Amino acid sequence: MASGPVLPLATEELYLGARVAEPTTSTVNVITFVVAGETYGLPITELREIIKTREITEVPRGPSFLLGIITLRGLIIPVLDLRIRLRFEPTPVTRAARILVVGWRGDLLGLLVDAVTGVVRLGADAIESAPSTLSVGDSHQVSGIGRYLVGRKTKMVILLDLGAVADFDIHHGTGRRGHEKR
Amino acid sequence: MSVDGLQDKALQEFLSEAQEILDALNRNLLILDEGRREGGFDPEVLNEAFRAVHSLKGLSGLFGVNRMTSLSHNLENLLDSLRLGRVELTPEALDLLFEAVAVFHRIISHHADGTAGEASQDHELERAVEGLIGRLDVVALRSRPQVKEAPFGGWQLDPSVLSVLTEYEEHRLHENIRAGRFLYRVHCAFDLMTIDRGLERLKGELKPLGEVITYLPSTESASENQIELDVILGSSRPLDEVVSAVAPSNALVVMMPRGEVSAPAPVAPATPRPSSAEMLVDDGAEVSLKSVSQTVRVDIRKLDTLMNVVGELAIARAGLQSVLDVLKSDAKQALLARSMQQELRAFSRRLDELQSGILEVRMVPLGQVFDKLSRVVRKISRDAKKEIRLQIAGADTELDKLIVEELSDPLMHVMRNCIDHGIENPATRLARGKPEVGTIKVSAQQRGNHVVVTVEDDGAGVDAKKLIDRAVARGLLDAGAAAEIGEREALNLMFLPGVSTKDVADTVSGRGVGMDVVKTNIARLSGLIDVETTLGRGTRLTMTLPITLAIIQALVIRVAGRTYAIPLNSVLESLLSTANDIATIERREVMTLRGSTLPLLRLDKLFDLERTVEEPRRARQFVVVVGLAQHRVGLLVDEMLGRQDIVVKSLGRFLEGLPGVAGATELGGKKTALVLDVAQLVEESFSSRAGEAA
Repeated sequence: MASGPVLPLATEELYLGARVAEPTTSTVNVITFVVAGETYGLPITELREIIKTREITEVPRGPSFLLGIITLRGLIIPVLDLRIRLRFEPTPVTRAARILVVGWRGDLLGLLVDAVTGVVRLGADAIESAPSTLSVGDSHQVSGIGRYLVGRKTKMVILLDLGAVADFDIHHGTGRRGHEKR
Repeated sequence: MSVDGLQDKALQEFLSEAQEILDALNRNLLILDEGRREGGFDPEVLNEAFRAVHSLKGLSGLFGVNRMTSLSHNLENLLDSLRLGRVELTPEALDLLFEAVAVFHRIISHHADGTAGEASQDHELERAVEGLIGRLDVVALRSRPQVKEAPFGGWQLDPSVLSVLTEYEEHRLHENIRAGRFLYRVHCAFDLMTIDRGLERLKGELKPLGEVITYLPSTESASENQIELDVILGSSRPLDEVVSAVAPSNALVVMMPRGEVSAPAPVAPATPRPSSAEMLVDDGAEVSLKSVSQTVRVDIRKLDTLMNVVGELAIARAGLQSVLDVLKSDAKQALLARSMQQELRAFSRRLDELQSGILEVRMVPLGQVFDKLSRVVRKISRDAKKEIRLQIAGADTELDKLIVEELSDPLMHVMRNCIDHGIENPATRLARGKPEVGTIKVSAQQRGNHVVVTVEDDGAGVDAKKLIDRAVARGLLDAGAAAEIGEREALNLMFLPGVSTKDVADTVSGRGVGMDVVKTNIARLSGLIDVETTLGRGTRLTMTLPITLAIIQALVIRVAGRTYAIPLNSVLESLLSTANDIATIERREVMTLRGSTLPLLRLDKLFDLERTVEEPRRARQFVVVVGLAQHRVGLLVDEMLGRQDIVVKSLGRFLEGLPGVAGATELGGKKTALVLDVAQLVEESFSSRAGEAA
């Protein structure tokens, strides 16, 4: 799948601009990004900030997709490697890689992605539910497939279910919180 | 000294409460004054003023501020006469009331700034109070036989109603008549089940109309599950307005019959002549309008935020220090380096002051918890049918608010244990030649950056053998190990969950949960706990706690290329070791430290840290001896980077419960390091094979 143009920088303005644009009830603004060559998206309302990759402090004994923690303006934020979270093989982190800082139930979470591509507006009718036979390893983390036009070409964006992405157990590498006692 | 300190604090609290009461009283007096000038005041405001002075009297009596008590007493008399209409609220009476407020303020500042002992000041205040009391009495007493209340201005009132009115209600009735208001009898039936709500609603409907003089149970017969009330209302509104107002409550309104329409002749008030007591007006020190109470209540979270800012400043200081180090290494910049060093030193001093200032604000006396303890002890000992005397010392020792709060649970469990397991019942005690009444001593003492809390009982002591048996029975200890266990180690078994020396659990204790909680809580506060016991003589529990948690000193170390911070309060010492010092016992690494065996823990193994080529394991390693609760362990680390003040931050909900990690901290230069949870690491090393030799 084509990954679209890679945005160089200044993505904060981009997302702020998109937030200002009043979303109507029938459309949803989606930030799109590349993970292992595929285009994924999250509603822009979930996004707090986009930052460049920085030194991440390793957290011992966590699941494999937990890269570690960063401090952002005094707050400790865990960072997940979205590629491993979605069961892709990890590839070297390039200069285009970014950390999406998203908010989930009042806590912040960082998601490492290969690149941020832009913001698209999807009408409600342009979103279909996730097909059961999806190439994504963890299909429960996908909430649907959105389609949008770039010029005359229809493109696809895999919409992530942030709740499922954020639902992991630090004591297991599998995701899905368990209740095993330490 | 401790008792004085506590009393001082209590006195300060009383003074600030008195201040608040006086402020309210002053407000009420102002409202009364305004109302009086406009020709009528709300009797409820006068009632409020009366109640305020009444509580002031009670409080000041409690705290032994006698001048305030006697002044309140006389003031209360005057206010009572005022609200009963025995004395008219004249400008002169109001002046006296205001003057009383001023004198109260002087009494408060007298006690607040500690001039209470100075003879000259004392004497002056004494005179002012006595003078005022004299004048208050003159006004209150002179007017007493004032007048027989005027007849009811022609209103024909039911004598059965009149007979049940209190003096105050009767007075209000007269007042309403005098003001030319109509009197209504509002009859309303309430369901027994909903009378509270119904009455509230009726009150709400009547309040805007005028004054409710009294509520009377209806003389008319009521049905089984209904209560009927008559409300006497004084109002200047016409009948139809009252009727429509109470319509929602389904009340019946009757205007009381009146014989003559003419307004009753106003009763000539006995205008107090300028009293000779006026001459006593004290011309002493002008009382400042400034509030004397210097207390500000602050949300602890605001202090946390301030503390965080100070923490960030400390990080900035560390950054500046490293810039200075670079400057120093350059000979050409020597001059610049020197002046920067000077500035930095000044900055550091101020920062330290700021930090300790904020820490001080967070400090509260342990007495807050100890007070709770005496209640708990009274209750538990009564339940257990044992007689206990609780002795408390060092209640004025101060600790961070957070720690004090966290301490109350463990202390309560300790008390329960003392009473249930420690102190024998009276008969046994007598048989053993001990006094019938058991004693529990709780004391606190500051030692450097720590506070030591000890709990000592003169009970039966802990039977280590019983503990071992129980631990073996529960499968927490194998029989072989039990045979070799030392006394100290055996005592530590009491902190394991499920171990109790008591055979049958009861409501107080015996389930073996309590001491487990104690240990967990104390460990969470980075505290140490120790037990000493003599069978038949008693048990002493020593808890050592850090004074504060907000900013902590940490030892920054490196293992396998990773940086970690270890809270310094759990570090006992650190030393350099070579491979030769390390031996293994049952495949666990240990070393000998001053004659005793120290188990070792390799962080890189425990955390599964991969060592890169640049970070091989060295032959010489540092051993950081950490002690927690009853255990001591040596952590093997590669490098010691030094001490640093750090602000421990929570890892947040996503990483909650990450084993071995207490939080994270920013070390400067955007570097984030994990803060190790020593308690958990130590515990893990004892419960698993993590300490196995490599």
